[in-house]
Amino acid sequence: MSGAKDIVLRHPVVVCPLDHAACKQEMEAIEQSAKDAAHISPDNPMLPAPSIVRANDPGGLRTLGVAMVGGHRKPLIE
Amino acid sequence: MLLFRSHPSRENESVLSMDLPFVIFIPSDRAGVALPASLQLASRTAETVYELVVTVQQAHLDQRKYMFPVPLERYDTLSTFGMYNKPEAAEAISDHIVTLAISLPRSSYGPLDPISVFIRIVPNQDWLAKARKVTIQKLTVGVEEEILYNHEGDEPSRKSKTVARQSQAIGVKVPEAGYSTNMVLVFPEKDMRDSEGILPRGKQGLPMYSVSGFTTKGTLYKIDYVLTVKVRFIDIHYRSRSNLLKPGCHVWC
Repeated sequence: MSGAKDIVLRHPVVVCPLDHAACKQEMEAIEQSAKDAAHISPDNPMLPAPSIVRANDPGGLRTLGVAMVGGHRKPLIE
Repeated sequence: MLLFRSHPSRENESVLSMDLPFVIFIPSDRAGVALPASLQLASRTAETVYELVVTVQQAHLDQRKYMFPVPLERYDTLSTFGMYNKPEAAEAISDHIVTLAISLPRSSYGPLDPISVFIRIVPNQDWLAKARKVTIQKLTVGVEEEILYNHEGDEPSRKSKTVARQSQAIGVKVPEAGYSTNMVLVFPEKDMRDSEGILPRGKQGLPMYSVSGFTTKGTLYKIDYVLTVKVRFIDIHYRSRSNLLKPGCHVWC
């Protein structure tokens, strides 16, 4: 017999959760994100300062929108 | 990451409100720690989810933990990236008689993306006499999904399934100049609606994907995809002999 054996060719491909059109749409945002991320350093992320209001801070209740009126808590009206 | 601790001289502090900004840096692939995307495999055989956990210890009360799901998506396999958006080619030979060559315009595909495979079957010029007797019966292109569980462990287990397949009957003898054709296979989209046609609300921590799986790699499982191109040949001698034995029987059907 001179028959050729069946050929099976296997070639790896990548499957992406987004279709080609969605990938195209993401490109600009990815580029921008990479640019933005380049300015952030893990050693000094330049975070805004924490704000902690303690119970005995003057005007502390004000931050919660509450005022003490005659020994009772009342909603603060500006 | 410690965000707040009461003053060292006191066991606790009475606080009205707190705003504690923080940043957690996701380990970078370049540092060798690639976090896989959030994903739940069919029938929940494996799952990757992320949570932000906030631990609060209030005075003498028990420590409390608050969990917040954090879905993580990766954008590293986009078909628009240069590394995937370029033509690829591959070849396989059958008994030195014929060569199958394929080429693809790119190597990354998403839901409903057409996978256009250019197929070329060429006889070996040194074996033309043999190659002439070969008939291409059928061409099949398919995509297989291979999930390898525990690939870094002692007992890895592999699960393969065909996610898309398409065949084309040819019935042509391999011409001396070769046979060429183009087959287009559409990568399947996952139907996210349930049996009543309702789109369910996405699960917390898991993004809504319109594919049932994608190329990914974690420590406990990895998913790969393979494009398969199969050529079925029939030999003229074999065909005529078979026909002689069983008149009316078409073995190539």
